[in-house]
Amino acid sequence: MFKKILRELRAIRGRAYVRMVSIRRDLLLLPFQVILPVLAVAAYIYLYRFIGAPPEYGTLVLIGGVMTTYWLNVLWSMASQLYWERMMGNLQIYFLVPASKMSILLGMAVGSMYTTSIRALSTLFVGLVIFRLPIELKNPVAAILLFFLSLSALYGMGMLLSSVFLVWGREAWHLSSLFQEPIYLLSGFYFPVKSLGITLATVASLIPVTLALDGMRQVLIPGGEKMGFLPVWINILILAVMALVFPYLAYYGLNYMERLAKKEGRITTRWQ
Amino acid sequence: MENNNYAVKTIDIKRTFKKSSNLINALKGISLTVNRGEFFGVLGRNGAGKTTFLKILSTLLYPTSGQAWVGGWDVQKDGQNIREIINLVSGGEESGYGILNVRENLWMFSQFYGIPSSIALKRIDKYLEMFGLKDQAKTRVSALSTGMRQKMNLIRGLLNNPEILFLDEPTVGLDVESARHIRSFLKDWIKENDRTIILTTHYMLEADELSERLAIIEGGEIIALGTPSEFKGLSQTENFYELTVNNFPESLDINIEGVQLISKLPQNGNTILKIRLKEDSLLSELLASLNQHGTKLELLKKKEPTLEDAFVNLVGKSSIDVSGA
Amino acid sequence: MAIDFSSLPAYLRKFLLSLWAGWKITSNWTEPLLFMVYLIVKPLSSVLILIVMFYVITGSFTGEQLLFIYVGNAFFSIVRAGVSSVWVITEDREWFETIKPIFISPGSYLSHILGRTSAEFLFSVFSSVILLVAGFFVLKLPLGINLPLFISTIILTLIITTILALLFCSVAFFVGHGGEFIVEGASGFLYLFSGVIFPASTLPTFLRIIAEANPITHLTNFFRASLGVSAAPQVELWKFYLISLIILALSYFIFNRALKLALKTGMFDQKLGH
Ligand SMILES: Nc1ncnc2c1ncn2[C@@H]1O[C@H](COP(=O)(O)OP(=O)(O)OP(=O)(O)O)[C@@H](O)[C@H]1O
Ligand SMILES: [Mg+2]
Repeated sequence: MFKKILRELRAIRGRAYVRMVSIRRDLLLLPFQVILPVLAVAAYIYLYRFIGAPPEYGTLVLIGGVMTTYWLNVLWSMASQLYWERMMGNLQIYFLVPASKMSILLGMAVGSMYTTSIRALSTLFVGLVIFRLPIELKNPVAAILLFFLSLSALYGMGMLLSSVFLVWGREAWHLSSLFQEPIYLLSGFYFPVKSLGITLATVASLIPVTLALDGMRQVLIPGGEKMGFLPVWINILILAVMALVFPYLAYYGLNYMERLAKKEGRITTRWQ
Repeated sequence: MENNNYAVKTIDIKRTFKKSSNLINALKGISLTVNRGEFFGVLGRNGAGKTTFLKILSTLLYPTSGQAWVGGWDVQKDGQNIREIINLVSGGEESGYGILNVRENLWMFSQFYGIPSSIALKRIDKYLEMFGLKDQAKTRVSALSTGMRQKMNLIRGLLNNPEILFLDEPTVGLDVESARHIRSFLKDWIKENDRTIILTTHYMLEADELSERLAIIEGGEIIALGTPSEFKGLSQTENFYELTVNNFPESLDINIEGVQLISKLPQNGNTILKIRLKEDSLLSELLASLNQHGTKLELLKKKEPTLEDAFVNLVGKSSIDVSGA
Repeated sequence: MAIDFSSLPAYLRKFLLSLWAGWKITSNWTEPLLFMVYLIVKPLSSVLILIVMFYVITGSFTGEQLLFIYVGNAFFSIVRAGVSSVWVITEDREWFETIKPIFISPGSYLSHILGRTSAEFLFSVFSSVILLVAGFFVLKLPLGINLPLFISTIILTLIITTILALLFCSVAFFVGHGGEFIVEGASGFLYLFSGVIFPASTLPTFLRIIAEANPITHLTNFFRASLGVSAAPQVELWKFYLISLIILALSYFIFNRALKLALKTGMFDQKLGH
């Protein structure tokens, strides 16, 4: 039993390593990775300035920008990852080894969180130091809980989506792309989600980012309470449930996908 | 555990694939046992079902019907247990991450077996050295040549010290010397700890040299099973000759009872004829007949039977049990 | 579909074939209906984000500022399409693995990129027009049209964005799965520095210099002028053309150097996936 746990831990580390070194190896990409989220954030901050919004809205955009980096990472480097792995010929090996597919995906998630955090930090730096956006640590515990629970929920969702995307094949890539902007809109990355109205905001709260953004803005922005849709503790509660449910669903998704693959003989092989 | 005495045992394994509207019968009922410690070869033409068979044994694919045990474990129910004791290497497989170097990639794969890093790295370095990849240890996988890549794949297959190793055309892309080196390595490797190897290949010499027993799969069925010498013995009942002749008329049909023209190839103005004779004594009759048509004999060679002859001979014929059992 | 480009010169043939392939790849992923949704949903969502932001602050759906933002954003989908050509390289290499056969076929690799990009352009102009029509009818934006200016602005935009994109393509040769980062990074850069959703004058002085040197900024303003949103911008045209020419020369030079370097270092067809 202990040996098995150790094996799964090693599998997680093995897969995470690939992601972690990639940021050092693809050095040319680093400036793009770091500057990219900053650019969008800056554009929206200037837009708010242009229409005469108070400076807190800059902080609102900043928090949205930080979470965007994670969201994009989940969408592009988690959800579609098993599909890429198949293209690269690795999926077959993942089916061949005794380590659980969950561990391998988890390793991917851990590695991704690490590289994405570098990007998120650079965004934060630009926002706080260069734009001098107002921020206030009103409730550090809640802020930390919101952040980590939302990451667990998000990456859990990414793990679930990766099986779904694998079964759907190439269409999934387009779905990723299709959902990108609508989710920016629904989750309120750049404005308080409550301005969408109660119905839409409730629907949007099915997405973990929405809850995280809604909660974090309330505890981090001076006067941010006014922007809130749900009370912070409810945000935390729902996120905690999601942080458990998504990985659990991911586990089932993976098993389902694996059985399907072995039965139909068309998922592990490249190009079907 | 059932059937634990065998490395592999299958009963009437069938596998069909749906492709758009039609069904492909990749395997039509394979029953086979492979003993522990055995080096078992599988031959067959492209599309015969060899890879499908190995995939089922390595738990990558479920059989449509039938049963199979690997190391005593059921391939459908006990996949997890099987995965701990096997490995599979396919010719031309592209696994790993281009951004990592060879050593890192192999280390990553070893982690999926939970091998402690210190042991894994020692093992990796040993094999890198043995397979002549030491200088490429720090090379990114994306920059490897086909053969280097294949050597890396082989090392991947050895990392977990598998009890049963499946090799699907493992020497594809290797140069003559490397292939020979790897064959001799495998022959030694299998002797330790009663390991088992099941190998598919299109190189008859390889199958002949390595396999203790061979199966030929054709159209998803085993059509012949036996030792390499039994196979060759099968062709020995007939006699093969290679004749280099001059002035062989294109349209000439050799019409002698017991004489069969297997192939004719033009070469430097001459023609090389491959001939099978029922008995040696038919040779004089053949030569006389050629002479009549103005064909001159330049060179005559009696060919020792090879596995290739046996293979060509068998595939396309109906099921034959070469072991005579 | 029977098409025969065989009598054309290699460059043109490759361009047209890639255009055709790009059209197929982008349009044919499931059903035409879903594809239409795709073409409309993405740009519509991104413009809705801006409208909601505007509404949150001003409490209204009208005003000159909204008009400015709306039209600028509609214009930007064309620019974004041009930049997406960067993705072609990543896709060819890491996804379809067709980079080798395409490269060795007659005609330059550049004509292949341009062909694939042109397909994206066609779609983007379409979605841009849809956005404008929706703005006119739904938001009742006071839009007019100066057709010659409108069309010439679009054509100039296609040319200049493509040229700019080549600069980013040069980077794409050397990174693995990073294509999407470069696409996003490049379009993020242009979104910020082209006066798309706020006037360049909102930027601090040292950033304003970048925006003013950027030909897309002027094109955005021309686009607005062609729809009667603002007066024609007071650009000294010779400056605009000069900058465009310099960028053209620079891009072409850098692209070719990058391609050569990629071939020399062997990175051109190396899959790097991670
Ligand atoms: N995943 C799959 N989906 C559909 N058909 C398949 C699949 N895998 C194999 N087949 C079909 O099953 C048959 C047997 O294929 P298999 O790969 O087992 O042949 P093989 O003996 O390994 O051939 P080769 O010598 O070329 O490697 C072929 O007709 C092949 O097209
Ligand atoms: Mg095969």
